[in-house]
Amino acid sequence: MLKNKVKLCLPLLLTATTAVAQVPTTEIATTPEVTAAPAQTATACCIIPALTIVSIEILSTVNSQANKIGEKFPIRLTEPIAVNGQVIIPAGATGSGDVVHAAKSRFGGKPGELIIAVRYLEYQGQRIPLRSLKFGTGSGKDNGGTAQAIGIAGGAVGGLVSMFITGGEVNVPSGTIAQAKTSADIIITQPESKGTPTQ
Amino acid sequence: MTIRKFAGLAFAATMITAPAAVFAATKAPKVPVVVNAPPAGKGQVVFFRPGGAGTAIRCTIRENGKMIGRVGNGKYFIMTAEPGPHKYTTKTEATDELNVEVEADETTYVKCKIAAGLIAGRPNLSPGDKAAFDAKSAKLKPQDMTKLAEDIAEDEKELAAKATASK
Repeated sequence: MLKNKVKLCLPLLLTATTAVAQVPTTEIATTPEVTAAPAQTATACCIIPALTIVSIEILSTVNSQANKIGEKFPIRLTEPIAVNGQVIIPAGATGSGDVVHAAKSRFGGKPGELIIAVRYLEYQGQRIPLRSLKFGTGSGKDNGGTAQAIGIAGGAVGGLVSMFITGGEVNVPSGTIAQAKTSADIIITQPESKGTPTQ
Repeated sequence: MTIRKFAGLAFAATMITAPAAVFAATKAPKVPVVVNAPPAGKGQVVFFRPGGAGTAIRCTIRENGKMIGRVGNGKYFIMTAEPGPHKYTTKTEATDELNVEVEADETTYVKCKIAAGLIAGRPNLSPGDKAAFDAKSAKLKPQDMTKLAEDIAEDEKELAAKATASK
């Protein structure tokens, strides 16, 4: 009986993925007709539009001398992602970034170079791809007009950039707040408690 | 007498201030370069050479061995690029490379400087940013794109000749 119900529900959920995308989670959750043991089913919940600004924290120090191209570093969402006032992804979701370019300072006055990028946040097993990393204040607002590019070279001008330069090397310390954007429309499928009959 | 004296002073004052006025009229104030957005879905890279040592040396920029541009001292050029990773190299007596990630609808800045070397100076491609470009762009001139296209065509011929000779 339980198996049959689940089988019936699945096609509905699959076909409803896009149509139900903007229906609040609570509405879907109230439809079950019975009190039952909760079961986990994936339901399309919400769409996070492409280019939504997200505030992230870099969780480990990245350095032009110590790090190499391709090395990954952890990141964390510092402010919840909300759409139309509804929190879709709470602060604390973790993800990953990597080193695009790193070159240590060299003799002859060549300063260290570092380019980093953030790749994704992960929330309940789903990856939210990111792009356009910019260093900012972490206010959650679009800082496109004033922020620095993802690339940093020692010796570059600019207050935000120069704060990363120590001893000719570029050092982005752990705890640095930055901003990025979602790189595509993302449909979040949140596992939620769905009532299923026990009798 | 007083009128003559006044006329003399006025004439002298005109002679002193006139050159400055003419200079101001003919020399427009330098304004920073406005970089337009790239074509939709594409990215773009601004290569610039803000000056410094090795003024006679030009940065010839290549990707996968193929010349994509050249930037002389105090010059810049803007190139449309596909979004994704790119590795640019430049070479004189030493080779330098820079990995960048071009993003759709965004502008990436790459700076080329020449550091002291034993013979010809060592080119250095490094990550730039809008602030660094804006700070210098008023003094920069655009690279002659017609000449650049000729240089690229010439370089392609040389590469093809080398490839044929090596077979």
